[in-house]
Amino acid sequence: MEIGERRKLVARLLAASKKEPLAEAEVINSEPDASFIFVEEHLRQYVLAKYMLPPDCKKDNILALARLSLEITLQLDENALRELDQATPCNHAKSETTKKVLLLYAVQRDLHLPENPAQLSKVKTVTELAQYVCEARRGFTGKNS
Amino acid sequence: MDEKELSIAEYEQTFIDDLNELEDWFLQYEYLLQISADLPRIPSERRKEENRVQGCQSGVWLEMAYTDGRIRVTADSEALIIRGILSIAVDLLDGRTPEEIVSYSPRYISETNIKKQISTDRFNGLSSVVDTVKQFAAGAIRRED
Amino acid sequence: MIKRGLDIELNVRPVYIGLYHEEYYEGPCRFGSGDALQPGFDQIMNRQLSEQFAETVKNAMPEKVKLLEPIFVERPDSWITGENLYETLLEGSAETDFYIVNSGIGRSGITLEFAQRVRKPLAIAPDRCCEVPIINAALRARGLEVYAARTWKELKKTITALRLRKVLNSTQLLLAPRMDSHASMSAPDTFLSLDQVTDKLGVRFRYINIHELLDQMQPLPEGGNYTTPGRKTNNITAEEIAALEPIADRMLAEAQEVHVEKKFLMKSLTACATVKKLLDVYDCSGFTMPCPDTCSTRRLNEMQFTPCMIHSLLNEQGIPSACEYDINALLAMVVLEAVSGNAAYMGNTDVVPYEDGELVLMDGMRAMVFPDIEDKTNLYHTWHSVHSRKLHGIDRENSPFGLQHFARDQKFGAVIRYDYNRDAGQVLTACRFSPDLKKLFVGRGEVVGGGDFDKENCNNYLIYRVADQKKYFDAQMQVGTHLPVVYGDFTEELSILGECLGMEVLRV
Repeated sequence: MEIGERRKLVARLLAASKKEPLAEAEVINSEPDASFIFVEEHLRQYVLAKYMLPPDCKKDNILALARLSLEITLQLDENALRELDQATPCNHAKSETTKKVLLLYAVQRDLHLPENPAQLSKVKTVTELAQYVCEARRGFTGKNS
Repeated sequence: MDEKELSIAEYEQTFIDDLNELEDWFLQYEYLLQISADLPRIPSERRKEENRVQGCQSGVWLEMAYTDGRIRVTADSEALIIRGILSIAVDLLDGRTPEEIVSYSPRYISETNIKKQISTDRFNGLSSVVDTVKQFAAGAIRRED
Repeated sequence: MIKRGLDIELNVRPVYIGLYHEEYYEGPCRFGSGDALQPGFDQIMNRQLSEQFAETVKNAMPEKVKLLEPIFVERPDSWITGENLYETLLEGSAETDFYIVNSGIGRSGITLEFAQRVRKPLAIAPDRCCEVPIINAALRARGLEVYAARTWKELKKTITALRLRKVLNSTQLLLAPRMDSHASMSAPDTFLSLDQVTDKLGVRFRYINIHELLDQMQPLPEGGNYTTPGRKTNNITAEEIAALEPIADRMLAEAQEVHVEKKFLMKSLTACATVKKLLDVYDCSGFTMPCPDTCSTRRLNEMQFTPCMIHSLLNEQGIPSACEYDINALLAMVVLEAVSGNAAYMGNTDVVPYEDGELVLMDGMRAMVFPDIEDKTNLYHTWHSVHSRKLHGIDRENSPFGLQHFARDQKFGAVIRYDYNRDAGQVLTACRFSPDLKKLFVGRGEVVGGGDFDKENCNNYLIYRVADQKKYFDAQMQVGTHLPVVYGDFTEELSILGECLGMEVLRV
């Protein structure tokens, strides 16, 4: 590969890594009254991008997605687990739990949601996460659409 | 800019710059995979004990020739990540003069994230790939003399 | 109402104490990076981990544990802890028997204060590094009850032992003395003081005079029983006796061998049904009555039954029942049946020494079975006529059995017979308290065989092998003759129980 092509490759990789999840978050943020289906569709892509999973991945359980993401990570880097485990060594959080919580935290931040750890921590699937997002945007009053 | 007008060290710097700009290991990994796509495969019938690089954790095979005053190099491995790293070595050394190769000191592993991501065994194995080529180049110089 | 020991559950409550950081900072005690250091991250993580912890506890529990609603609290890194945190921790403490706490650095002080306030036994989750020794040292130095386990599997045994302690504490026994309500003519190796048993173990005793009990084993006559004239008592009724007929028929049909007439079997069943009825009336879950003391009244001869079937059938139903007014053995059977879910068997337990190439048999032992045993070392011999069809499980199908009579001349006293040879190789656990309640005998053996299946009277015995006969013997000398046994190895759990009760454990 020539130098010029490599430079383009670098640029492309950089753009994709940061852009994709944030882009999906921006789409959601730009539609404050979005339906559940809309939120769920883009939130799912956000999650898959965050976990570097293919866009057609059908799993809904977030821990399962985290595990899948970890499997890919481990193929790339055997030491990756240690970094995740270091995040909360005194709490003995499993790597997949840490990945899940990092995701929930990122969703809360990127979608500018009010903090509600009690409710957010109950979320187990991407579908439930979408429901949570919809409820959070409505101030946790009223039912899901 | 024609890569071959650059010295090995200058050309190597372009790889070091690319990798360091990517920062994140997942992106670096993706980069290495993509640049290795052009690295030709050594078919199984040519993977012999005499061209297998000793000390490498995964199988690594090296083919070298000295033609028209230039060293020809190709390499292959069973491991994707090693193929990616080898593709840089091949790109740097293939088609160079023996004198250029003998005076070259590799930096692209030790001065990038690659060193942190690979085991000591693999690091030593990859170092021995370059050493093997350098020895071959030194042998070519001696025969000329 | 009869509340069987084996139905009693230990109420266990998981407690998760989290810590959250109110600000972003790094330092010697912060290990994460990026988002993991941001305020808000910890609160989500703590709740996730609390849920995971509750699931771990659920999967790690032994049987007969009731898991109560987990408690979750968290403290900020400002170290300001409001009273509402302790109020939450103390919710439901009255019904909680045991806490399993998951906490960590920066929260040990909360665990300590909680333990001081709640005064209930607790353990730190075994997989919490650092916290286990921190809390154990802190609580033990303060005389608080705390348990340590290296693994969840180890903690499971501790929880089983604590459940047994609760069983003892919840046990009420019906005793039917003739003369001395403390000790019978044949079991002076019982407890020094029943008050001490109540004080130390929580066991309570209810009494019924043996004559009044025997009087109630027939329908109430006009004018009341002889011992309680004019009173309405809880005599067995004619209808209740009639209901025993199909039970007798079934026993007779299912027995491999029958050497007792139905009329005598009915008398034994009537006696058993009366005792069970009274257990229900007295709210007791275990029974014993004296043998020689009652025998010498001649009333059993007149009524034509022996107490053996009472004990056999009650034990088969998970209601401990012991011979000879041996309250000590009865309590051991309470514990053994509660831990195993199997019927216990008790009898005179004697060493069978092997000396100079020969077995040294005691009076009354049969030599017949012994020649078939190649290895004659480290044997023990137990015999009483209170065998059971539920040695392998109270909730399981009956094992094959025989029916025999006790009295040689008149052939009354239906008893169950069991062939222990079918269980050769089966591990068993023996248990008994020392009379001063300072020691607990916990023995392990392996069934070798048995004999006298076809003999009448107080026969049919079990032979088992122990690891070290001399040690077993020396330990037995501190506790008494009857060593009740159950199938299965529960020596670890019983040893922990002994330690929990502050006793020296004689584990042999």
